[in-house]
Amino acid sequence: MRPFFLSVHSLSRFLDKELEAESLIHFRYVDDIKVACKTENDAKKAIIQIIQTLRTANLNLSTAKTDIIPVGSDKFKNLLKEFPPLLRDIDNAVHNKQKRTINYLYPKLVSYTKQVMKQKQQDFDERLFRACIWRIVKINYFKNIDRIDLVSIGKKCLKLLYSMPSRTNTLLRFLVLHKNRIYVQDALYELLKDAVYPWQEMLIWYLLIQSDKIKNPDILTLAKRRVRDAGYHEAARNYIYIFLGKHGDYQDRTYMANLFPHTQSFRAQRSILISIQEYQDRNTIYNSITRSNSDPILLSLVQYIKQLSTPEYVDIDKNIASDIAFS
Amino acid sequence: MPRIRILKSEIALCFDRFLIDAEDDFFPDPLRYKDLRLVRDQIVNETQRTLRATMNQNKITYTTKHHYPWYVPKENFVIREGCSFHPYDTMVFHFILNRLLPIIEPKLSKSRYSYRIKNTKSKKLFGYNPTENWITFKNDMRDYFANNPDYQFMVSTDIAGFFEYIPITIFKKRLLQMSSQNESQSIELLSFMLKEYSSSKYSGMPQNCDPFSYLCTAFLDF
Repeated sequence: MRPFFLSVHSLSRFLDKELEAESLIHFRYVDDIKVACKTENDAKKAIIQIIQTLRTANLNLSTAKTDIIPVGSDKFKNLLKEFPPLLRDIDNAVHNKQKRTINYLYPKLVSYTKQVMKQKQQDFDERLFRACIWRIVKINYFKNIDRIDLVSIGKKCLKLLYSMPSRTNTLLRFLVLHKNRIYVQDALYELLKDAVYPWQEMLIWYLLIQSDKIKNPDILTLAKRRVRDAGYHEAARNYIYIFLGKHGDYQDRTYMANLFPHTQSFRAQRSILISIQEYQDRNTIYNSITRSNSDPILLSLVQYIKQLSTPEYVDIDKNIASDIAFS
Repeated sequence: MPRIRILKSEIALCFDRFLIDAEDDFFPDPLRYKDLRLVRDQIVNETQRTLRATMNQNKITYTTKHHYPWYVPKENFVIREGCSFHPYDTMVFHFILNRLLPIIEPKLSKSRYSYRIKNTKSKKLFGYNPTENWITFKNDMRDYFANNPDYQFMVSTDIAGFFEYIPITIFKKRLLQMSSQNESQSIELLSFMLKEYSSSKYSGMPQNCDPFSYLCTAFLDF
């Protein structure tokens, strides 16, 4: 490394270029920056260099996430830890559609996942856990795979919805496997009753739409109340429309159909049009759009719905990238 | 000002990229917009018309469609703003990105692993397994430290509120510095739209949209 000095930065030479100019070996993934240093003092100087460069663009480092990590320490090993070979073997088997190998590895994966989730809270490797459950979901999309009891993993996912709301998407992708089970519906109802994050609530309704039958009647009562609350957060409400379109009754569908002419929001309009597919007077609304509305986006939805032989409420993407949980 | 040509094939590519982008939307469309394929030509024509009118004005103005600044939880119970965009606006973002890619790509550092473009002409901008970049990021670090035993320390850090605090004026200034006259209207349009989306009007890039994931991560390279 060159002798350390505080350089004057031009606007045209920013972080990566600046670090390269200082011969600092660095690796960056979005805003996650790692710098290799020979000594602790070099590391301190590198931090100063990064801060000074970022300040030229009114940016700063996150104090809580900045650290100097000795090579070989537990933290260092943990940071660069590789996933176990079992996950790679599964990825290969899934990619090559080798059902016999998948059937051989699948019980090992489930058992490994259960081990991971039994780790104490401070040691719990949530990234590894997500990597495991993504693969379980992926395997379950295959036909003729031996079924294994996954309830304990499902219960863990339900608990994590409280402590890791940012991972709701992954956790619910797993819980879709048990979308018709009462233990999932009961736990989701508890979460919905006092939902903190509209985004999380929206995804829960998205899962419940996929259920074939709602076994917890309280969920329906809650949906009916929330859909009639005009001030309720739109992110969740749009999905409640669709939920009630599928699982609700004639009154719910009439309510939503009557709401449509007064709805301005593009997403809410789409949700209502999807929700009234089984409403007996749906064509009155659909035809009004065909005739009078020139927005091709609404027209396309009506055109699409009209050609369906059975109602379709959500489109499920089964093409899960098996490596997605690495990020 | 020379008239800016906007071809239908370019907008059609932006439409396809928008559909791929929508697959991992924070706020998934119930049908993942698959119905829009039925009116692809109409949407492409409409967007082409709008962009031709917009890009050939002396002073750029563009009316963004209704959008929602919805919040998405992050780690440790913090939240971030995740905008929910209208398909037309997302297509415009993809158009702008398509115009800027040729000037940005050659300038990017090899030390940057995220959102690397596989093929600037492809519908799938970031390849079929975008997260393989993350794996390469970790593997390269592991290899570097293993092969260079005199490097005994690693600085690990990240930028506080990165997306939220990127200053729009500096972002625009840097883009203009590295580009030619040909791209200036795209940069003006981008800056105009960013100010529309920003709650503070001077900083912040929308999240939940591939063009911004790319542009923000490239910003540290400009």
